Order: sequence, then structure tokens, then C-alpha cells
Amino acid sequence: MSARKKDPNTYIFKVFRYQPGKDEKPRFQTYEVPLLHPGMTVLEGLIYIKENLDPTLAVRYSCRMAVCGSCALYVNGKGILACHTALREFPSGKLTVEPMPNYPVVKDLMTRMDEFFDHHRQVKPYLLRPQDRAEIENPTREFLQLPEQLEEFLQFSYCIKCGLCVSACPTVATDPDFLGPQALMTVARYNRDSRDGGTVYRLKVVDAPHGLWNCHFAGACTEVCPKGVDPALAIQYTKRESVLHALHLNKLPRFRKKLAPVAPPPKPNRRPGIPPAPERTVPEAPAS
Amino acid sequence: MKDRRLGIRGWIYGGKHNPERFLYTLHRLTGVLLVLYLSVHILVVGSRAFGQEAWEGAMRLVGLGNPVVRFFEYLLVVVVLFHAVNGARLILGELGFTIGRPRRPIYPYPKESIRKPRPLLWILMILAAVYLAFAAYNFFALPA
Ligand code: HEM
Ligand code: SF4
Ligand code: FES
Repeated sequence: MSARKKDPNTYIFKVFRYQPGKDEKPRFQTYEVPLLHPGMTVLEGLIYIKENLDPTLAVRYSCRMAVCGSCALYVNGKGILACHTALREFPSGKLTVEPMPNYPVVKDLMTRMDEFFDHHRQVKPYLLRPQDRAEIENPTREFLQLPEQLEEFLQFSYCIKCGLCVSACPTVATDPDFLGPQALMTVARYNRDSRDGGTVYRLKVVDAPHGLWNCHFAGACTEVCPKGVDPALAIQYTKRESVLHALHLNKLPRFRKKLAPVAPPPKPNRRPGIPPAPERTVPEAPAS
Repeated sequence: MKDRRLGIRGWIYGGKHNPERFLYTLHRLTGVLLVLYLSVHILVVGSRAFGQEAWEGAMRLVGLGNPVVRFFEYLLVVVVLFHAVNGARLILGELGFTIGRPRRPIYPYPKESIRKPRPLLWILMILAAVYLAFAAYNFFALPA
């Protein structure tokens, strides 16, 4: 193949093709894709291939706006969201498109995510409050949280479960049972939430073989994350929390977690001094 | 192939490469080398317990003073120093020091946990390199 592409508006896609059970081994197939508009993304290129050149190509996507996390794949050895990466980020005009490594392939660029979500489920990714179970099961009101308490975990809640961090992690490469950066990051997402009281339950899950301590802070998850979640930061915080718990230092006032209270019931009477609402100018909508 | 799990290759390859990801592999490699060295070291030094003969035999076997052996001794210093210095960085980071705080993920992303301790990483590596340069002088330029 020529060293340079012939036309600045043509992109050469070298795409990984493989159908387990049918193909003996993977192969790469080359397609030429025109730049249809300046902001055209890798995903649009793949859809162009599907619609015009080769309908047998399998690629998974849904939102095409970096929200659903379906379209994660590798281009030229880098983990990206196909819908969130412009073709013009590749001035050489050549793209080697592969599915995420460290996952089984369903077909072509699609990877099987069952294990990934299974690991996510294992860390109990929801609010736990064994302290007042009645409120969790039959909620009466919201929990009160200050903006600065929100900032403690907000970054970690931006995760879209694309799985790129898991594909980039060197521990995942040799340990299939390792929970992986996404699940371990989720522990800090909930343990640092002032509304959650399940810290010890989650620590029990991750302070175990194939858990927290199989992370050796390679930082590849943070480097690759397309949403800026910084899983490595979250995981190191959980290590610190685990050490504090092991040394019983979590009982010190400095490290003790204060549970967010349930909001008080609304006051029955309006505050004095507020003028009454003006007369209605339109009739009340009929109850539907 | 169906799984596409990278295996040991994944310790070196796998996505965008940040320096810390290579140190992961290097730390493991030096750790294993240290375990191997320590086992041999204990066996060799332990030979003293079997009398002067055994000790001198072991010393001859090891061949101290031989330039090749001396070079490997220097490599040992490199391995120990890297493992210790990088280990100090890891201990700090993994206990939640030096790595920053959660921030709003506004583009370009802060990536605090790897960007914030990176100056510390370079300073530690430069200090180690300076130490190793002196050690090299001590090892090879000065008479043994
Ligand atoms: C100044 C002395 C040392 C320091 C500060 C140190 C520090 C560390 C740290 C912090 C880790 C865990 C890193 C992580 O979580 O990824 C580690 C791992 C390890 N260390 Fe050391 N260490 C030292 C000496 C030694 C010695 C003398 C040996 C050999 C007998 C050794 C062998 C290992 C091994 C085999 C690992 C596991 C590596 C892995 O699983 O990737 N270390 N060291
Ligand atoms: S932490 Fe980032 S890379 Fe990992 S699954 Fe979530 S969004 Fe994807
Ligand atoms: S298609 Fe939804 S994240 Fe790319």
C-alpha cells in the first residue's frame, strides 16, 4: 500500500473482520471512505461502509453522541469512542480499526460485555443504607446533600460503561477474574457519596483476591477514559479507605463518614410576608 | 484468539501509553529479579554456616572481582534503586497522597491521578539516575 493517501478527503479504513465459529482466524479488510463533512467521525465512517460498501460489517452504536458507551473500539492502537473522534484527528488518513482487546469478540468490532457488567454488579452499584432500611425500601423524602459533598464523587458518576478502561488495564490482560477499573472505580463512586452507608459491604467485596490490591496504579484507565472519569484516582482512594478500615482509623472524627440525613417534611404553612399568588388568567387544565 | 485477551503482552501493549503503565511492568520485573537475587544471596551467605571451606568455595563460585560479575552487581544496584524509588511513589499514590482530588471532567480532562504526581515521578527518577551515576563511578573508575 502507498505510504500516503492519495486524496486528503479519502480515509483508508483497515477494519478487523472476524466471526467466531465461522472464520478460522481474524483478517483485516480495507475500505476507502470519503470525508462527507469536516466534522465526520470514525463512527460515521463505519456507517458509511455499512451502507455503501459492505453491509456485513458489524459495529455497535446507539446514541452517536458519547453518552451510551456502545461504540468503544481501538483506532491505531488507541482506545476511543468511535462517535466522539473526528476523522481529521488522523492526518495520515489511515485508520486501523479493531475491537477492544481483552474482551471476547461477538463479530468484527463488537465485543461481549457480559463479564464487564457482571463485575459492575458485584460491587453493589446503588445506594445502600442498612442503617435505615425502611427509608430505602419505602422512601418518604430525599436525602440532603451539600454541593461540596456532591463534588466528592460527581466525577466518578460520569462513567458511561464503555469498557475502554478495562481493555487498557495491564492487570486485566493476565487476570480474567480481576474486577477491573470500572467496577473498582464504582466502589468509590458510592462509598464517597454522603447518602450511602454501604462502605463496609463494598470493601468486603473488593478487599479480596482479584480485587482492589491487584491494581498496581498503572493509570492506563485514566489515560484512556473518554469521559474524564479518572478511575485510577477513585481506586487509590478506595485503597486508602481500605487501609483506614483495616487500622480502625475510620472511627476517628477526621475520617468518620457522616450519613446524609433524610430531608425534613415540608412546613405546612408558608413563610410569613410572601404575597399571595395573583389571580389565574387561564383556566386550570382538566385533570387527565 | 476468540477471547483476544492480551496475556503478558498486555503488560507492555494496550491503548494509549502513559509512562506509569510501563513502570507497572518494570516494577514487577525488578520485584521478581529481587526475589531471585535474594534467594541466591541467602544461599551464598548461608554457606558460612558450613565452615570456612564452604564459604570460600561459594565465594569462588560467585567470582567476585571478575569484571562481568562486577557489571551484574552494578545492575543489581540499578534494580534495587528503581524498585525502591518507584515503590515509594506507589506507596504515596496508593495511600491517596500526591494524586489530587476529584474534579469536574471538563475537556481537556484533568486526569489528576496520573498528571499531578508526574513531576514527583521525574524528580525521583532523576535523583535515582544521579545516584546511579555516582555509583557507576564508584564501581568502575575507582580501584576495587
Ligand atoms: C526499599 C525497598 C522496597 C520498597 C519501597 C518496595 C516497594 C514495593 C511496593 C510499594 C510494591 C507494590 C507495588 C504495587 O502495588 O504495584 C512492591 C511490589 C513488589 N516487590 Fe517491592 N519494595 C522493596 C523491596 C523489595 C525487595 C527486597 C523485594 C524482593 C525480595 C521486592 C519484591 C517485590 C515483588 C515481587 C513485588 C510484586 C510486584 C508485582 O506484583 O507487580 N521488593 N514493592
Ligand atoms: S470509567 Fe471511563 S473508560 Fe471506564 S467504562 Fe466508565 S467511561 Fe468507559
Ligand atoms: S454511540 Fe453512544 S457512545 Fe458512541
